[in-house]
Amino acid sequence: MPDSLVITVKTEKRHIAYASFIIEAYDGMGIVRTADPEGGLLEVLVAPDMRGEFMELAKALSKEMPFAVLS
Amino acid sequence: MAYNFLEFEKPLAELESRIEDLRLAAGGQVDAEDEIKKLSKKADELREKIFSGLNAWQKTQVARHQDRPNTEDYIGLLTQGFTEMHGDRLFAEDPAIIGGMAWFDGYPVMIIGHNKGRTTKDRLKRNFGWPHPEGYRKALRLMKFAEKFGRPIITFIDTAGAYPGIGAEERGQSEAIARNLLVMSGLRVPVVSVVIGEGGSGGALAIGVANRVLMLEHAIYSVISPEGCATILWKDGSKAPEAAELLKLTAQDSLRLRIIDEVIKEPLGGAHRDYELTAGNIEKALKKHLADLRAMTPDEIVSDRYEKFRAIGSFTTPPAAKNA
Repeated sequence: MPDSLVITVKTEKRHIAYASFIIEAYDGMGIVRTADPEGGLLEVLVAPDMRGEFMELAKALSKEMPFAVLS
Repeated sequence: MAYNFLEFEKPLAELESRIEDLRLAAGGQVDAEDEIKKLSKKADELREKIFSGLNAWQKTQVARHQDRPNTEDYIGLLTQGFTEMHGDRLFAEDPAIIGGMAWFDGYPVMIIGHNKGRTTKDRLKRNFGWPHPEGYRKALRLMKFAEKFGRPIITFIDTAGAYPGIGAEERGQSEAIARNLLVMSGLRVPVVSVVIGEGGSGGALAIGVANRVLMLEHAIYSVISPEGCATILWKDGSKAPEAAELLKLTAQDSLRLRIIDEVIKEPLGGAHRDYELTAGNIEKALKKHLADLRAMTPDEIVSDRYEKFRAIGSFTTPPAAKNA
């Protein structure tokens, strides 16, 4: 019953809070969960319709800090 | 399974221990089977007798039983695809309250509940189910999220109360509780709360402003713990059993006083005797109430909740004095 996509992102521990707040500031785009704080692994729950917007944001974030979409 | 028996269950504990010893010694002998059957019947009758006449203090002990199923157990038994969400986005994560998205009865819902933990390590981590303000603010964040996406909210209440420590007060414990009461009063999605163990004071109410409040048969719901009440009234915490009676904290009292909407039956001997059966009873009740609420418009849902809480309590106005 998937109602959202789970996108795994790799960043660094020190950037987790910043990344979470930026993503959640785009109201309704996605929900951030920290899968592994030490490894900087995030899980972002994104509605299928918002996937495109999230990937654009990920691209923009990757220009200012380590932020790689893994899956 | 070995049960942790409460003081008033002692005769039952002795009987069950005898049955267990017989079982081990008999090894399937027919003669022993007859004796075991006879003793089991006696144990069932004794259990029925004890649990049909529990007083308020005994119910309090059952509600606090260390093996009683908790929010995590019910999430596992009642929902699918639970995705836990952490943190209040303001201060920290509070493990005394857990919450997240899940599927219940084929619908996406938001689940929020107190969690006391089970092992000593887990209980310490979860502060024995006493939430800090960040716990209530996390709950609030999740409730607003649920409202935004039109998900019904199910809350499981099981706390002795909000944590009254210095840090909690410094970070605005009463503000966090009050804000939850305010925001929950206006949520435009159905909210159903189930008191699964202890429903203590504002700490419980902060996730309990619901369209329907349900209680397990041996759960308690009260403005203060019996010990706290006895200490304030009589400067003697040992008078807790007396205070428990006066507080009218049982599910049956709460239903009579129209504070709750339904009492959910527990297995004989308490919820900890059969997790699946208890969860099944909760599931039936939740399905029924959520179906009723799903048929309402958002305006009707808010008004239904408002009317429910306005109807609690009764008062009389003395006739106006003649010369007034």
